[in-house]
Amino acid sequence: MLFNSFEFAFFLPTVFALYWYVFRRDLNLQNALLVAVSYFFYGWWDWRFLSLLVISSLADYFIGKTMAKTNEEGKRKLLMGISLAINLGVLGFFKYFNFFIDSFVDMMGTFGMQMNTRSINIILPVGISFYTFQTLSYTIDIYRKQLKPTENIISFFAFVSFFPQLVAGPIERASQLLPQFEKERSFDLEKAIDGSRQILWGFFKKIVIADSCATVVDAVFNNYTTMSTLSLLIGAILFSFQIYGDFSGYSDIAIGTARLFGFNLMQNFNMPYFARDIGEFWRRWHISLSTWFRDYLYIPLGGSRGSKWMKMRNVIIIFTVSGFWHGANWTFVVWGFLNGLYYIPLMLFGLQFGNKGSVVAQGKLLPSFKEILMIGSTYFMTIIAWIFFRAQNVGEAFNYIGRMFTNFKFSLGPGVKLEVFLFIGLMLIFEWLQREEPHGFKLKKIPIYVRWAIYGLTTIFIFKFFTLDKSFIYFAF
Amino acid sequence: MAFIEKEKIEYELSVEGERVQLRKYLLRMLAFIAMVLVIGFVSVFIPDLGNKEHMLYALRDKHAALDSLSGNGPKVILVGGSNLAFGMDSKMVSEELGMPVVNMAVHAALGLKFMLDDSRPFVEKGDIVVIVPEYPHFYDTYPSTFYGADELLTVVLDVLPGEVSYISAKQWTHLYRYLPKYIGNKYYGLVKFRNGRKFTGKGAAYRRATYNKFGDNEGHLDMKSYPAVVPPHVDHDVDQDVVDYLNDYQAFCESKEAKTFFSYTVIQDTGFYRTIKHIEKLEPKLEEELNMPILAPASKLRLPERLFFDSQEHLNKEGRELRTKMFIEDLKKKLDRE
Repeated sequence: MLFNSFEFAFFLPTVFALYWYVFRRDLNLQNALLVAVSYFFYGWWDWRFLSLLVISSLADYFIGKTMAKTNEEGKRKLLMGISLAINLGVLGFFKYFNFFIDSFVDMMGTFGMQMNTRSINIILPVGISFYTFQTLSYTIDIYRKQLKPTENIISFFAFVSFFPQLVAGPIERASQLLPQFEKERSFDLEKAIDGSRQILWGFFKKIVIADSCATVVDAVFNNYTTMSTLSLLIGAILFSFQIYGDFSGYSDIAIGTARLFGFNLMQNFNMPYFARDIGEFWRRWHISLSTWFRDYLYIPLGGSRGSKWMKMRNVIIIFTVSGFWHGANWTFVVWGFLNGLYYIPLMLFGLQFGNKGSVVAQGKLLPSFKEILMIGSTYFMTIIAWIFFRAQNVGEAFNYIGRMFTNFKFSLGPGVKLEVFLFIGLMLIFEWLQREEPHGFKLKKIPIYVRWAIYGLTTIFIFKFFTLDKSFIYFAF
Repeated sequence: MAFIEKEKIEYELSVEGERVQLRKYLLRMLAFIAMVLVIGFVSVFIPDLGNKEHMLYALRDKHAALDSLSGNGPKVILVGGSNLAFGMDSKMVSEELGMPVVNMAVHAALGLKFMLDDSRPFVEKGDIVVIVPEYPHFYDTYPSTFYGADELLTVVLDVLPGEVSYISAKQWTHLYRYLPKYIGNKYYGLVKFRNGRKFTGKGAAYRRATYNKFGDNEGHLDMKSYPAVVPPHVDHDVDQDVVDYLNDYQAFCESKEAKTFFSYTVIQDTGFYRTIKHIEKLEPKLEEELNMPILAPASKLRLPERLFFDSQEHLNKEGRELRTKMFIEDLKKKLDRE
């Protein structure tokens, strides 16, 4: 089920009413309800893949329990291996099987060996990369003895399948989310109101920003060989806002929805386009995935310890794997690798944490000239990388970039409307003013009638740009 | 005992407190929903600045043309989507058949159901009605346009407000999904088109003023062609309701002593190829179940891309002439056979 669908508009209030009015008295019943509605939510897309969710949940629940009962290192390692094999095996098959086959055939072809193979028509189950990583965090934390396994199977199933973040994150850690299923939750008015506001803001970003950018972006990328410098630049800029609006919009709706049910999910985006360097960008973009890779891959690899070469190797590995996580295409690998290359100079000069913990132009209305330059150059680097992310293949991305700097014509691209930029500007102003807040629609210290006028206008904009059946980009990852 | 009592009181207090908070939240949500409903309700009364010069308003002129012909003997009524509006020379048809012609076509998104309902009051004894649906009118799932889309809301709420009664309850269960878009467009038009709407580029061919007295769009005839969006592959089944509705319409026309004919839409080569799986289901079904003559097989209306203006179904000047000649030839053959 899509958040931006009429089905969800009926689903959410119904679940809310059942949750707080019918199942409130019993925590287990409340969690069971969440499991049932989450499976319904997921099954609305394709009920057959519920089986994968069940397999993943059952396996990690029992592995976690068994692992905690033993101190035998060998046995613990074996159980951890089984969990990794099941989760990554399922993910690998559904997401990467054809990629590896095709890449192998291509590689053999370069050595003059022609192979006749046929790819299998595999449907990628929505959200598989997200819930697989979420449940893996559970067994890894138990293996590391950082988490005690839950005895309550319903809580665990609810943790794995919690519908607001099931299909596109944020990827929650078991240590953060699971305890929330195990203690009584009470309704918090302020939290629910702010959650509702965040949902509205998420819809604005998805429908008004992302979906209206998508039309132009598709037209430019699908016909990039005939486009001028300006059109190609506009296509790349609009894609950067499309993917931001789409994914951060989804995260806002997910976090806001979870808050209606008394849950706190982690912040997944923190105004990344105001980042002053690429390190800061990655601390603000898809935070739940970046921190997952940091904790479960980068640090075990050695992190920032060891020789300069080791550090560089680790950075390249983490970014490349992160790119590969997004999809079975070399474009994502190159995108990740490129971001790794961007990061290395910062690391070599010890500047990677230079802007950590601070907010740009803190306490001021506007940034300084130096900050503008830093934000601008970081943004420019990200849009070059986004071209790889959006292109159909690596060759196309290089051609696109090449034409951007050689085909000096300045005609506007197809379907470019000034209003798209106006709405992007509006979003950036809101986010700039709220850059110290967890989302761009806190609207603190604003008179109530102004706030309601903003709600009304936002709703009208959402209505205007609403298109049936516009899916989210990250559903494909 | 006292301890248990104290816990119970605390629990009830917390439950009560939570209930109060929930009530407050629900009141705010109700206020928000009320605001949205007011926004929606008011939108119906807002002047339709975004569309008032748009081709949808040509429907008023078509109605006027049909009214003027009422009681003056048999006529030809053409019913369909924009493929017919852009791709038919009704003047030529009129001269060849010796009868007045009104082309009622404007936009496929009005839905086949509405197009048929809209034409019913004008059908009279001796009339010839030719129905030219587009393929999405027959799909059994989204993006089926049998029941119409947001353009239909503009028509029944702004262009021809009396015709809102044509929208059946079942049709509303499809159309309500387009209400947000309709509402948003009305407010947006109020701001954006307050000084009039400019129709530039190929948009200039989508105006009320470009429709001639027969109801054909001529705005595109002297314009250059634009590349069409390549459609996705289509494999939808045929919606039985559509076939039944067409037969019901045929029975209605028969009761009025009018003749009904069916024609497939014109379509670009690529579009035909990409719709072939659907067409392979549609053609035998219509052959078997449709109670009206079919002018020609679907493949005859598959034309090369050079004959099109800006989409899979919109013919250019050359294509329009060719299609009209084919249409006249096919219709004459069927009429002779009758």
